Amino acid sequence: MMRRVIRALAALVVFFSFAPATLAQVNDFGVGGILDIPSARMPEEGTLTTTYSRKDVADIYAVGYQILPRVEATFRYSINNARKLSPVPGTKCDFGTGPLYGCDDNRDRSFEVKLKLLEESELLPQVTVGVRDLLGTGQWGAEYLVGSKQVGRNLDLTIGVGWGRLAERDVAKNPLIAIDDRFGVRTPASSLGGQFTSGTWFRGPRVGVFGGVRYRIPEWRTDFLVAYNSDSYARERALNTIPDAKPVSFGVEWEATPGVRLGASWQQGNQLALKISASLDTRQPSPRKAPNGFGAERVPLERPAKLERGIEWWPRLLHDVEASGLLVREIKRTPEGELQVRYGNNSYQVEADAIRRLLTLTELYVPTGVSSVSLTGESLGLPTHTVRYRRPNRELSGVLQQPGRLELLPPRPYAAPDHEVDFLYPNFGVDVGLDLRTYLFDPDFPFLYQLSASLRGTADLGGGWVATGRWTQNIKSQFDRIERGSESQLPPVRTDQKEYLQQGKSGIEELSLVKRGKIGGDLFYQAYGGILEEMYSGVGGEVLWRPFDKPYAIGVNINAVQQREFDKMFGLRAYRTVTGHVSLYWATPWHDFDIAVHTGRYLAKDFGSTLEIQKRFANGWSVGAFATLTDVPFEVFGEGSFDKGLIFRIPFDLYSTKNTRGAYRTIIRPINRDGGRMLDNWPGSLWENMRDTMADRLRRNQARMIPE
Amino acid sequence: MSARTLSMAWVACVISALAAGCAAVNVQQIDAVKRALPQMDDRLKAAEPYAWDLRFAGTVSTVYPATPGDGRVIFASPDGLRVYWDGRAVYRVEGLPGAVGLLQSGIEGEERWYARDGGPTVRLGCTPRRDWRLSATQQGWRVECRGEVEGRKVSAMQVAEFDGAGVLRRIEATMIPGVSPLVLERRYK
Repeated sequence: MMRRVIRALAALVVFFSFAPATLAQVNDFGVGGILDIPSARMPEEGTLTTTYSRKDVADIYAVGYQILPRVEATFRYSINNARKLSPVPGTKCDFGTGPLYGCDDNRDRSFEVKLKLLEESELLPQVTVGVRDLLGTGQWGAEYLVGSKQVGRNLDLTIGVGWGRLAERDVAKNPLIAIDDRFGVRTPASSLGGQFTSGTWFRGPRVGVFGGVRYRIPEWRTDFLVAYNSDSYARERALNTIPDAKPVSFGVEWEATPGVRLGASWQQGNQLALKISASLDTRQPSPRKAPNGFGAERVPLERPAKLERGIEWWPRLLHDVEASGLLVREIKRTPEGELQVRYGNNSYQVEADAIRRLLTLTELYVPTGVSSVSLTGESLGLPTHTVRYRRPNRELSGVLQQPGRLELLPPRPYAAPDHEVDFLYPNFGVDVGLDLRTYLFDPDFPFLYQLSASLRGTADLGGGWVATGRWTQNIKSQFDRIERGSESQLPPVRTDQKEYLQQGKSGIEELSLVKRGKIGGDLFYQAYGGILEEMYSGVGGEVLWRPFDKPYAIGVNINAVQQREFDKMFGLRAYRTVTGHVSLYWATPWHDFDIAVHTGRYLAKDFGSTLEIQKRFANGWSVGAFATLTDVPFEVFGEGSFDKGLIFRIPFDLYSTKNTRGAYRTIIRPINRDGGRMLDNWPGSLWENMRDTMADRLRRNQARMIPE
Repeated sequence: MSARTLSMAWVACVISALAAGCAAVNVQQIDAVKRALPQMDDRLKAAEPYAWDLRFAGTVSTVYPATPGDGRVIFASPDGLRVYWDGRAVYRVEGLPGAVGLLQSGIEGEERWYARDGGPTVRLGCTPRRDWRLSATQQGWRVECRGEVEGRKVSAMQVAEFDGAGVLRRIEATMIPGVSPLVLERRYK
């Protein structure tokens, strides 16, 4: 177990060390703080922080994100008493069955939100308010109002008032009782978890006071920490995990590499605590890189003999465009002196970089008599936008030379192109890769993985028809250890996952045929059939109305599906259903937020809506959350009360020397249940795939399109 | 064939495919590993203090200057890129990445001509060489040329920049009239 944790942490540190440093001084719970108390500090907007802390009371895994300049949110998973400590020397707790039944064997998911109320000034401290267990069972339930003030160059002081657990060492009457008597009574949270615990927030007869000191020595990249905690760990003492809890704790933190911090502390007078945290900036701009095939690692390009002579510019342009990782589908030179190009971008994460490369090459090769160049780009093979570039005045030289002018336009259809590249349909693509799949938050085994090889093949049949297949071949799997199966009161549309993971370690992940096209100017569609995902086969379709230069879109999808056999081959199980949604999408201009609402029928035949909020950056990073409420009552849904989760999309481009559109997209659910579940991949896929070519995204990077 | 044998066969196939380079690989760690390996041989390491950056059409290449002793300088890279400078103008560029081909330039009477593979030869009238000086450490000379191509007016230039000690540190040269100039710049000032 220890070796696994060390390996996972090592991988984490390597990954995060690619990122530039961002300052995140988190506590054991993964939020800005000192040791095990919160502080008013929070990192820069867009900072993603992962934390692992380990002590006798609990091992805590946390993922925190600075959603807004003033809002920090953290999801955490705690494994209480991970080392099965027993009050009887020489024995271990044997949870549930042995003589020491009654030890703390809880596994808890909690969600913390912190809001900055006041920015630090010369005289005033930074002040934040926070709720430590917004949706959980209330195990860590506490709220706080905390201020932090830097004194001199090295000292950061924190003092705060706490409710809930942070009022166990109480010092005064809850001042909020003066507003309303109801603040004097703190009721326990729902045992199911997953529901807002607002009935408990800032309640209780008394409050506690906590505080801490962080003394920083920048030359050593080291902080010395002292904390006074008003949480007396009454629950853990009652369960005999720790014998006693002194209020004062001490520790030291060291910034091993920019963004990666290691900590060791002596807490409550009896616990050695260790912590590692790593932060990266998800907002960092994508670096401009050399065009693929033209950088320092370029291989000499073999030039066709026909390019050595003659005056043909077109084959030269085509050659360099393709060598740069782009496609030219059609090209036309109009009598009015305009060159119209329809292109495809398979390489560049930022569409503006693809446009810049194309314009640079047209500047290089296209005859001077051409006064403007119109580039029509595409997503999923469907034209989505046109960029018109008026070539600059050529008479001026040097610093007097002005760049050309750029305009963003709806996609333009070209009639009768002069040159059309024959892609020799059907053309095939094969991609071999390694997949790492994880299974998280199982109470018995919180982290299990499968390493597999995947073979993905696509066949572009032309005319918008694409066939896709993906086979996964198991290399190493730990999923046989999973013991807990479905105990759902709903049809097991997702809770049979254990069977798929164990019986279908190798198998067909996808085998489908898709037809995509456009109906009129702004209406896109796709129809598909086959093995759609790991658990379902069927047929379906999606229509998306996405007006150009507008930040919104409406989509409709409907799917008739049948559950697949657990071995992930061609067999089908008895369960079948029709699922579909109407979706509203809004790319807000506010802090890179995209909002989507999907309303319709889910896989378990339940009706409801999903709210999805994603912070989506131009560099390809996306961090978001979703929640689904359906007509399934919380009690029937089971633990967690309703479906919810976190969405991450990590672009490889930021961490690679080459331009690439590859990305790792994952959804982390605190608990896997059957209510409110959709098909994976299909709903909303048109919007997702076309998002980077929407006008707002292109406009933001317009300056980056100017050719070199 | 047992499941284990099948798995092993799969792994062997995948590794063979990767090793043979016949399959696209989306494992990004390979990039990181490549970066960790030495990319430069010892001779180039020794020449690094003399490196120049060549920028043209969105690409950046490293070149190293050498002189045959007749006043010319040849900027060259190990992969065949050559830029010839005669002390007044860049007159030949060969081995640029991509399909650009050979670029040449020369003087005929009062005019400078520009020729490229796959394109028409262009002739422009040029100004005499003009000295310029921005500061004690930034000075040089420039030549500007103007003319018409396909009915549109175009310009070209040759600029040389020297440091305070009179050592060449930057050259800007139009090789295709109407296209941004090629820029050669000493990497270590």
